[in-house]
Amino acid sequence: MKNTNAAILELSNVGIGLPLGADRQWAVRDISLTILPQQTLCLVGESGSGKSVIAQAIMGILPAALPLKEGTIKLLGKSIPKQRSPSFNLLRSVKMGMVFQDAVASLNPIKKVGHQLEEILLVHGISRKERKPRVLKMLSAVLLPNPESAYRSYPHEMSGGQAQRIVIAGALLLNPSLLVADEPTTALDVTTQAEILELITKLKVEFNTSVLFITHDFGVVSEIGDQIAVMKDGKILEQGSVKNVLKNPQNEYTQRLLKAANLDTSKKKLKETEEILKADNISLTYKKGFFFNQTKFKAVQKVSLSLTAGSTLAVVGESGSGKSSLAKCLLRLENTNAGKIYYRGKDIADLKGAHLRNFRSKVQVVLQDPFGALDPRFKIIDAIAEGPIIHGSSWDEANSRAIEMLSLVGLTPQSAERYPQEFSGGQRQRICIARALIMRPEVLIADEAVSALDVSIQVKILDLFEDLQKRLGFAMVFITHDLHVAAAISDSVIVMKDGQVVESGPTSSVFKNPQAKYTKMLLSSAPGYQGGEAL
Amino acid sequence: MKSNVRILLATVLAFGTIFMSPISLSAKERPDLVIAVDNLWKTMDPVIGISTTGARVHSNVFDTLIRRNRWEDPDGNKLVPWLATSWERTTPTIWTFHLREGVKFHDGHVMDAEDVAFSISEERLWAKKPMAPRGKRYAAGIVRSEATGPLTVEIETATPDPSFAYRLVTPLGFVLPKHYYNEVGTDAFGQKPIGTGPYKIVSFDSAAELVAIAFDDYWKGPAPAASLTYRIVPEFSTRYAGLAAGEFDVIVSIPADQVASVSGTAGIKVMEKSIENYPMFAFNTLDTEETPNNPLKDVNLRKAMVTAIDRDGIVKALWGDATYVPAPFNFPEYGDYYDPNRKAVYTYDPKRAAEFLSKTNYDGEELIWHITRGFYPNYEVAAEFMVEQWREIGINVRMMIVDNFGLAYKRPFHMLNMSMSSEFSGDPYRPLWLDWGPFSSRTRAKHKTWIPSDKFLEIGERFAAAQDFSSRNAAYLDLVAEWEDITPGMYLWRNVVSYGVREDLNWDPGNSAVTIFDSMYLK
Amino acid sequence: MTGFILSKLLRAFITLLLTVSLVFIFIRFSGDPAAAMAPPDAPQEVIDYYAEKLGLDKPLWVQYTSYLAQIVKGDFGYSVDSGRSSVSLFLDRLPATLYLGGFSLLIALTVGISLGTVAALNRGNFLDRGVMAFSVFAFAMPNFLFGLAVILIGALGFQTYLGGQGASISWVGVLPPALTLGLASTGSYARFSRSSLLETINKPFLLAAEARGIPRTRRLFFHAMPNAAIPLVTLIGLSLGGLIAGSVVTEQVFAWPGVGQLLVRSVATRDIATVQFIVLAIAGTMVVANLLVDFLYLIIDPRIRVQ
Repeated sequence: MKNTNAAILELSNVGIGLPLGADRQWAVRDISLTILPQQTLCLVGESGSGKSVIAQAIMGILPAALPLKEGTIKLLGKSIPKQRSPSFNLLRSVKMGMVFQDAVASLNPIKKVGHQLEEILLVHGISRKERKPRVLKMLSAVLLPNPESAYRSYPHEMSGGQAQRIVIAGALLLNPSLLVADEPTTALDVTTQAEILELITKLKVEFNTSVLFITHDFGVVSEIGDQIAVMKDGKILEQGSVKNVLKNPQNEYTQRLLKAANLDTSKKKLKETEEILKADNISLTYKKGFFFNQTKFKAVQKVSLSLTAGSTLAVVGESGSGKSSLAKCLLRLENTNAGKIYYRGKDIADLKGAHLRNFRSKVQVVLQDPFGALDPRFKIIDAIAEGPIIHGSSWDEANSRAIEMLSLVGLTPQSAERYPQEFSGGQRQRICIARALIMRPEVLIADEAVSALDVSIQVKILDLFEDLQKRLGFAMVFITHDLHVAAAISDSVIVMKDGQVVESGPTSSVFKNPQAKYTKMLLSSAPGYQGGEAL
Repeated sequence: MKSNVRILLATVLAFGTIFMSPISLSAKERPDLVIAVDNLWKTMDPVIGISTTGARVHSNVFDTLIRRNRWEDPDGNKLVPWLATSWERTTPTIWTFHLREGVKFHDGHVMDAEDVAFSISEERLWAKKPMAPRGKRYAAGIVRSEATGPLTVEIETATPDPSFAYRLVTPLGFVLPKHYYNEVGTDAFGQKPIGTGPYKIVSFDSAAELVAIAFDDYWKGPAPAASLTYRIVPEFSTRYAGLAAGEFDVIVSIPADQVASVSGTAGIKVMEKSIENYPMFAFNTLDTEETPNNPLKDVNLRKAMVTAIDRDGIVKALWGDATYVPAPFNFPEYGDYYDPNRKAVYTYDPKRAAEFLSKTNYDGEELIWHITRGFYPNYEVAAEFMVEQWREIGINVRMMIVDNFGLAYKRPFHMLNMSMSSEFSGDPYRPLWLDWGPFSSRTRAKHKTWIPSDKFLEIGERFAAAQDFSSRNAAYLDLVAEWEDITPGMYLWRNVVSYGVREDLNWDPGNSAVTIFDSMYLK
Repeated sequence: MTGFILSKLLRAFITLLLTVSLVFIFIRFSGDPAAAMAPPDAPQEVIDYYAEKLGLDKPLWVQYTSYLAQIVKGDFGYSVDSGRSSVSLFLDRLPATLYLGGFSLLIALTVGISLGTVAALNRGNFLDRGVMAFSVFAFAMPNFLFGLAVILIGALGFQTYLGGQGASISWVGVLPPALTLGLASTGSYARFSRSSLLETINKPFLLAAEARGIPRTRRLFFHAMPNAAIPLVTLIGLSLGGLIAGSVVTEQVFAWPGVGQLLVRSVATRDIATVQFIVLAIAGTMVVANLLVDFLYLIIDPRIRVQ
């Protein structure tokens, strides 16, 4: 027998069922994991792999639809109670705490965060006098600059990073032996993500806590993990020490994921061809409110860019940097306040009638959310063929081109008669791409077009973009917050912050040798990135 | 000393009534009656508030100089001395009234000739801008109203009016307290009125209820009920429920189609009374801006329309035996002028209708009939039957049902719904001459519908001037004949009011919408 | 913040001005008020008398401007014939209406929210289905029909009259009309609080609270219900705004001596001043209730304060 007495958490052969009618019988099965004191175990997998279900089972919050059918979960050597049993409340916060992906959403929006933290102490019998000082102490332990004011804040008044610090403070308030963190940094910007990872590493030591860290991001794993378990479809494919698995992955799926995570700029070379789209010092200011309480917000400030035929320009920046506003300007969905945008040398602000219609058909867009972008009542074929029909094609011609497009984006012609809700996220994004490309555009603007997709799907869609670009020769403006994506697809890149361009140039040189401080910071915060080298 | 006498008297009276009529109401505890009404007029001034909803209250609070004997004769054809004990025609134009002595108003003030003179005075009723403008038509022709003694009043008319005394049974005859009226003013009087009647008002809220209690100093002895409460219950079903549950003693206005089910309820009786009001419609006989080339200018079309309708059949179907179709102006409340054998000249006769129609140039033009929604019970239903019957002979009438009289009066219309009241003068003077003559709304208002013929005017003058019954009756019959010859309107039926009454309540208002709960009517 | 309040107040003012003007116009274009006021066979003199008393003989714009000027001075006119000021007529009837409306709102709130909570906590089982069936019934039942049924059953089945007792109002007497009036809103409160609570229960922060070891009852009463109550505030605001206008039919059926009956009667008799004032008062309560809701949101929902 192994020495299991020292284990903080031990799962043996855990199996959790799925409701009848699901696509498989088990949410997870044959899960055996062990976390030793002070250790961080990273549970890695794409969405739907079952990793969050395991976290819920440990916390005793599995929904009734997902019954724990097999195996045992032992916390500090003792089996945990039945799921959702009130006796779990003696363990939660005391022996184990949990951190969620969306920190703001995991706090009650109408109560001050200080009071929400105090409530944890209250329900666990800490006397009134002690509560506030303990909360404040904890708030400074998670490195919030002003604990007193944080205490009085409401969740919506905090940034995602601050809120995550609050939630972490709450989880560690009673100094539990185990911290379960379910994708705690996924919703955060890269810089904030780096800070939170650093914080968790620091607190783990300070509070002598073990961590179960759930993520889909190998970069994060390499930063924080001691042990790793790779999951797919409810099963563990591979587990071991982070060092071993990342350096020398055994499983083919792990290898593929790792490849997808590489920050690889080697593919692209800038081609010298004619300039097709050009922005010259454009600015966009939003006015908000009405009459008495108007405020102005400068979304884009003096941005210039140039796009040559057949090339790809990546626009990189964190949320709120103005990249989507820039896209709207380029599409002429917003009129700029200053500066000009030229399409094939003509100021797009002057386009009217047939010229404008031509511009609209030649500059196409693919959006982030493939779920919202398709009307659920339209068959795929109709959704794709709609554009050409509006621009004057006959119905038959539009339909046959739509079928052609479907096969071009890797979907079967049979899918033409189906409805959007019958497709997965990746497939829907293919449909959106087909819908954009059927217009034979010269410019395709992709606004976070792969951000909502799992990494392995991301890779496939990026490959598709590249392949189609080679075949059809359109230029792309690829807007993303993800440096991996930018690196993988673009020839040149502009980096945006607060509506302004902080750096621009060929992708390889910007990523290998960043000049601006902000670009450097972005790159250094990217998980798994060290000194310009991939993992 | 004086009060001792009164107590003694009261005691004797009380014993007397016990011995004399052991089962009468006064022997028992006097009941508190609750009358559920659909509405109350906004003022209880008996002239400004002339209306069905007001009349249900007025005679319980005020007395007229003269009364009709409805408790003996449902049509009340005999005049009974009331606050006036007697009267005589001093000259052809001067009438002298002798007043009852010791009649007290509710505030204790004793009524005298000044009060009567004031109630019929110029300032109140017939000046250019009187306090109560709606009294003008009752006071038409009066030139002087004067107290000539403590209990004698003279009233002078411009022209001789042999039936003047009949006018004093109408709201014109109500006696109001001059001192109080002048003290509080018209509006305030209407909110807290006092009279000489059997009940005195203790609270009045025109949006909710009116409460009156028995006036124990009533000149005719204590009232039979301890109090009257008129409560507004707008919804019929709710009135019915309250009656069935014993909350109300009397309810008014039972829809014609509900009468059977109400009378079928245990403990409830229904009284249907045909009253002195006649729903009808006027033909618009004039060319106006809105109705040029009005086909109804042709009397033959009007006669065709009258003879095309089986009124008796319709009325029987809608009302059963509750009412009937009158011959024009031959109403039972006219006493000697009423001739049960006189029939209308133009009655249902499809052949005759076709003949009249063939004499016209009528070519199927649409005739618009303005009807005020729900104002006259069963009117719209009857109208639908009639429109069908007209259609059968090729006359195209369209009903236009509007929400109020303001809209009904708005041209263009070819036919206008209306009703004519006969209750006024004990003879046909008012409905025939005042309502159709040269001073009537029919000929003068913005919504006028005809111009009387010279012959009509001439006979009318003769009728108005006639002083003895036989010449007056002759003129009356000539005038009716001329009216029928012109046919400016068509009578439908004698109106019906209905009451639901607690079965053990011995009360009968006669053929009237006026409800009185004094000892004559309530036993 | 001042801007927010000022713009809300400006909007309220414009709403009231519009209401006043529309009422003014409609009442004068739905038939000559003087003719509608006088009895059907009244001679022209009487109609003219009313027209003069109401000021209808003047040109429309003179009537309108003097009407507005009077409103500004706080003079809302008087009811012809009774000579009473429209405000005093209204105030006389207001307590009855507030009593009825208040009681029905109380019933709707307590019964509706309790039912909604029970349904949400028993989602999908027979209790939930029963509550939802009831709320559909309650919502779909026209209150004149329900009111009449209540009154007739009371009278014919139990020899008890359930209508209004004239000018006197009592808490026993108010129950039948209040139940009738509150029925529909009980249904909508039940539905609304059920869906709001269900939505809140499925929010991540409640799962997070569970993971923090907060017991179930505390999660329900301290976290779920306060959050679920926020959208209800709008509904309560609507109910408050409709307090005066909402009971017209019920008052009519139950002979409840409130503002609604006064309004119906005043419209029928073309009592212009009274109609105008009541409509203004109704619009006023709507506007005030809306303002209250807006400001209440500022207090109860910290998320709105920053905007």
